[in-house]
Amino acid sequence: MPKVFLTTGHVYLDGNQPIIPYAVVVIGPPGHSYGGTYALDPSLSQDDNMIALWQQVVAQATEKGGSVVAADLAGFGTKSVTDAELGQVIVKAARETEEQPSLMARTLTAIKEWWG
Amino acid sequence: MNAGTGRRPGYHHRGRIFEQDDFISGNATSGSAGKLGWICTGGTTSIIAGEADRFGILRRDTSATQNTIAQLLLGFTSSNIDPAKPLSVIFEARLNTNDNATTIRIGLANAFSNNPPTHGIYFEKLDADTNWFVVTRAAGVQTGSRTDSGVAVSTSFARFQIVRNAAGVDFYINDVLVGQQTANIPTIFLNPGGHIVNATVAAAKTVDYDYFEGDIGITR
Repeated sequence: MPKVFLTTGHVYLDGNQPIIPYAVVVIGPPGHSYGGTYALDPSLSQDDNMIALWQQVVAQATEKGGSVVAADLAGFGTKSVTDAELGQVIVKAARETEEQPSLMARTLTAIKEWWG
Repeated sequence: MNAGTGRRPGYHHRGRIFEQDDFISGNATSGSAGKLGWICTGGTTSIIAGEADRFGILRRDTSATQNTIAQLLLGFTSSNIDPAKPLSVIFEARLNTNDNATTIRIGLANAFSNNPPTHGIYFEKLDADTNWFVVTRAAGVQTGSRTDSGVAVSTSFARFQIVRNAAGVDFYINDVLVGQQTANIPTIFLNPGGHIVNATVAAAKTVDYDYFEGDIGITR
């Protein structure tokens, strides 16, 4: 039974940046809910953007209390993502940074945050 | 009542825009927050328990991702308010993380998605500030128009009011005049709102909004 539920809202522009708002409900204990936004990355495919959105939600839900993995999430209006897929995106991002050293520090920071 | 119009006394839509929000209704999703449908881009948003005399409270949280700009914005991304018009904007807000790694601005800007906004009229606390500063900023310039209010930043709710009049801009905290600016008043249209930024540390910073009121003069 998932313990984190995600629904996405209407996309809007913040300047030239497309933003997807979403709502998250975590059934506990402790239960809580919050809203967030995901900034679409135009360099990523649609699937990878959705996976990145899930990564963001997993990280936020964990930060707000409890350990959450992708298997805990049920998405409505987004594709389902496995832990393995989340890992693939991280590997892909790491590989790309080898070709773009200027991005390496930022990506390593993101990976460290992701894996705690 | 205005004869033949059916309008309420004291309010005429051709001369004023009046908006008010207690953040009692709505939800925590960007575009649906409060009764006015506030935009909450960046970080996370939650509705926290009401407190005595503060029934609706909306919390903006940067989350622990460094360099997050958690903004609260009325009116999507279009800039709606002409700062040349007489206006009064009030926010009642509380900074929960009053430290040397939190930047916060509250008032009017174009745009709160940037740190700092290019144009704005706002109260400001930069990371190292321990007092609120009052700022007018136009086209990225605020020379001579950022001054210390003399009011210490705290973690209690405070009432921030900006009044635009013919002389310039007056800034009030808890109904006390704490500063005036006459230079670098933007001509670009602005939106009410605010933002909180965790640019120097990867830690969550939060601000609570309890009330908004905007009374803007227009002619239509």
